[in-house]
Amino acid sequence: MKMDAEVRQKIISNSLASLLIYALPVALMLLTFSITGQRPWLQAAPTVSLLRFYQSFEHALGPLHDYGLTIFVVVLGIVEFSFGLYENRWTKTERATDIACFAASYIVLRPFFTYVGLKLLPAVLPGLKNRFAWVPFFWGVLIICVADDLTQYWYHRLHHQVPWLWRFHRTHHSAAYMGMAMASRQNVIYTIFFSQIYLTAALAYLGLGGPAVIALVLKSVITTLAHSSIPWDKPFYKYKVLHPVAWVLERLISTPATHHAHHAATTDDGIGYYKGNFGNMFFLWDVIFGTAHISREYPKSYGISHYQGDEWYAQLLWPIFKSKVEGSELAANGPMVK
Amino acid sequence: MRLQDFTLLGKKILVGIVVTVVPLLILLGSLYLTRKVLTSDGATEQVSSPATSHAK
Repeated sequence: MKMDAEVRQKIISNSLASLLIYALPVALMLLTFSITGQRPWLQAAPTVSLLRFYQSFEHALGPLHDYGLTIFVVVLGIVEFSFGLYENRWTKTERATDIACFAASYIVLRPFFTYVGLKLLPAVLPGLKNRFAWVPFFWGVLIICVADDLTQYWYHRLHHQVPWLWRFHRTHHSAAYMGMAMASRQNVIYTIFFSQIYLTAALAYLGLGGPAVIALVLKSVITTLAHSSIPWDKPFYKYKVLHPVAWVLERLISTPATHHAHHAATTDDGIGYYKGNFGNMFFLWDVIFGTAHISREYPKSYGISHYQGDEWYAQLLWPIFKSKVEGSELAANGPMVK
Repeated sequence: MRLQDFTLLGKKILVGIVVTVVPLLILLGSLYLTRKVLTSDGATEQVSSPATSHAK
């Protein structure tokens, strides 16, 4: 199956525009330094108060990043179950897939990423440790937020628009429900090569560690809430007085309405839009690149219309393990895209 | 796993590397240039300062 010529053209033009967007926060920082005369690298080391400020932030948010977010996900998951938001769609196969994916992210992926950060980066970028530690905290957060999330937008978009990449991302879309469990429901090979993780790890190694912690906590909270079956954004659409806030919010970050549309089973109802809404933390990328669809409504059905419940091991580890479901995209002789 | 699976994995890894390395190079280059541009700007100011004070 070949990629559509129009899609290919859009990918090329949008990716070229992205090169400018990556440099934009640094260009703005340069402009600010030019105007204010600020030269942070002339300080031999961060001042004591600045250092304490960084340390207090890391001290406060470090545990949140380590285990606080896990607790956050589990608590919200319990709330979802309590309200019966998964209904009866969490079958044995789906439970096994969700639990295996959630466990793999802690047992396999986190230790692997930590190893890469500690061992591989010093070898790949020798002598560059903390080279850009002079970047002020605010600018560091902005640089990481843009770099990390725009990279994930591209990684995600390519897995939807390049046919031979789709099957690595299919697991995330196969469930017929939305909820906390969805955020970590991924094929291991899709996750282990997450470009934005290596990019952010490299930037942290180069001296932007403090800003990286803030950016990642912010991103984890937004993406988890966007996958949640709790429609926290509904009041913003319901009350007229909140409409201006809704207008900004739904264009800036991923909300349940826009991200649920991305997980919809169909596009026929004018609500679902799995051909776009690729943004993770920021929805702004979809707005900029013309892949956005905003309806302020939630799809009636989720997942893949032809999905027949592939085994958890195939969903977790395809193409190492194949599905036994006849005609499945994950089966040994299955189609690339059904 | 078959040979075509290894080929697919290789292609996928390559895409991942490109998507990581391109923004990294842009950021490394732009951060390096920020410092370079403003440092040479500062050096010019330092050179011109004594001349200005001498004129006074």
